[in-house]
Amino acid sequence: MDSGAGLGISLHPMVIMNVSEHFTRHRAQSPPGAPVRVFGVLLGTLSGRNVDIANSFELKVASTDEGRTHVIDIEFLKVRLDEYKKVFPAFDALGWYSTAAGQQAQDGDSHLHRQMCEITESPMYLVLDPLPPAGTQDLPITLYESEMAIVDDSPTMQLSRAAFKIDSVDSERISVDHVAHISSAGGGPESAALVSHLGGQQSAIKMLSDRISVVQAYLAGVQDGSIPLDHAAMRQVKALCSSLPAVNTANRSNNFHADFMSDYNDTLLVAYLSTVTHGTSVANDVIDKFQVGYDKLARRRGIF
Amino acid sequence: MAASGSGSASMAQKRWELENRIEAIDSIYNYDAPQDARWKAEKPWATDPRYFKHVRVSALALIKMVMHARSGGSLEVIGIMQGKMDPNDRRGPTLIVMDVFALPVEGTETRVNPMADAYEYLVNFNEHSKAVGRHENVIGWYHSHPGYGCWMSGIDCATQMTNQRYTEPFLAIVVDPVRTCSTGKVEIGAFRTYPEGYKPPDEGPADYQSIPLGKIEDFGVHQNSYYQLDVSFFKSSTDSQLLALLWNKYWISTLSSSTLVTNQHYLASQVRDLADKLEQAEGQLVNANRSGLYMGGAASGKISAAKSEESQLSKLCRDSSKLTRDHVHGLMSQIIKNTAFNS
Repeated sequence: MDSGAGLGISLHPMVIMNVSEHFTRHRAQSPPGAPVRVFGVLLGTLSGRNVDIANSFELKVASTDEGRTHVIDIEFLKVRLDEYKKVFPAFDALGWYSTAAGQQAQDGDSHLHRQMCEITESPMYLVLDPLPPAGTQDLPITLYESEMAIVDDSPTMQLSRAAFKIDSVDSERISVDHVAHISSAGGGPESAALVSHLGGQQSAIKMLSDRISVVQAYLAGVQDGSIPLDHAAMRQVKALCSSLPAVNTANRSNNFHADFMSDYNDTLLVAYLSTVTHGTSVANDVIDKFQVGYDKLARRRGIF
Repeated sequence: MAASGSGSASMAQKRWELENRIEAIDSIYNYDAPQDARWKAEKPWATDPRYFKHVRVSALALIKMVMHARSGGSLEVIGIMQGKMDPNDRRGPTLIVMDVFALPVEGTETRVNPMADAYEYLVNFNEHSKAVGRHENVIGWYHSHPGYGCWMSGIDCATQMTNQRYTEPFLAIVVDPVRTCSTGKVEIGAFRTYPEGYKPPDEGPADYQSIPLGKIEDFGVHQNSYYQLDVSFFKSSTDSQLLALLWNKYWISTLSSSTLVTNQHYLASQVRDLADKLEQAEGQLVNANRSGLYMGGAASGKISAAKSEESQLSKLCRDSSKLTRDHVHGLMSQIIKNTAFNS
């Protein structure tokens, strides 16, 4: 039963920030050295096969058995859920999150998972490792989804890993960018806008070129025989190359070129208009000054 | 400030300092209730109307505010901030915003006290937050001004003044989601009002910002009844680690989005607004000239009229420069991409 294949799961950065803050807060408030684990609910929308995890909130969990068994305060969860629904009516509870080292589901987690089934039919489970080992390249997040399996002739809920992608709306991207490259001053001078704008572009293009050079190095290695040939990887490279160019821009008469040129010209026009406005303002300035001087002259002539 | 000297030793040193500062910052996430109560009991703000000068906003609070503001579209949204105060910050007395939550009120400028409608919701939500380890109290409110900049309207001032009288310390934050998207830079402003009857010292023109024609009257009237606070942001060490990793997945959207296309509507409306303002300025200019002609003697009156006129025109110039800048930024990224991918 391969239920993960058709589900498109997208995760918003805000959820990641929320979990991270929840964890940091608990760590700051508990005595140093104590193990910290936090739990919460994932909120978002579900339409067809598309799952959009956009928000989250904290859970009240009672731990017993030396922190191995956890019991969710369901009443509290329901109240909290209602509160969130009042503000974001489109959101539903989709699952739950917790933090754990190694981003692995822990032993007692299936117990919690069953409790979450009371709220939503087939909950998802997100595990985040708040302290990833140094050198981690990928996000320290694992997402599980519920799966029914027959074990010993009775249906049992099991967790299976699901793929997800990071998704964000424009405003989210900008604010995440903003805090990611934090400047200690909030509203910097105008020149800073240009620097941050170009800086963002530059680092994105650098990232792309880094990735391309990795592929290139791999191909070169395969060619001179220092790396064993992997057909799956080769097929991926081939698929990527054959989807290029995405837009045929060599032909000057196509739509892309026309649109690009019209954007270009629009911008030039705006710049031109702004220059004209400046010119008018300066001319107005000169005329006013001239008038002041001229008036004085005329009056003097009238008196004498 | 840019330390361009890049000896590996100095880099390592810098890195070490950076990491250590961030570690220290994590202590901000702890809430010392008795301390906070003591500071609040002292009421240091009562003697100085401009007591608080800085605001520190957590990364999470910023993202939540911008997201919520954006979800409202062209409607104003309102929410509550939770946080604390720190009179001993090295930059002066500071208000710290830890977290925010949305209120189920969709605001219009006509409502006198938008928070009154949701008061019960507010109190309940805050109580429930405490149950899950968020011990900070309400420190203020935020709302959005979609498309018309960060400033306080008359209604906002009245709301803020009431709250500052009864529930100090209290802070107001305004976010503009539309401009945030068009400029690619978070547009946020933090404000506190002066007590009623207080005359602020004349401090010259504040940072100029462009206000649409329809709102300019409201802006001008209340300009002197509040002041703006410096805003800075902080994040935890876990945050920065995750954000760095997030960037590995994120660069694609930076490359694939175009601000010119996503903000087409806003940019067009800005041009239109400028045209309207120009027309108005022209009308006033003609009037001033004519009155000047007929009343030749009243030269001084004429000059002062001309002065205000000048400033209006030069304001328009600044508006147009800003608009051009937004346009050029958008185009620049398009050109960069064009040269990177199409040549």
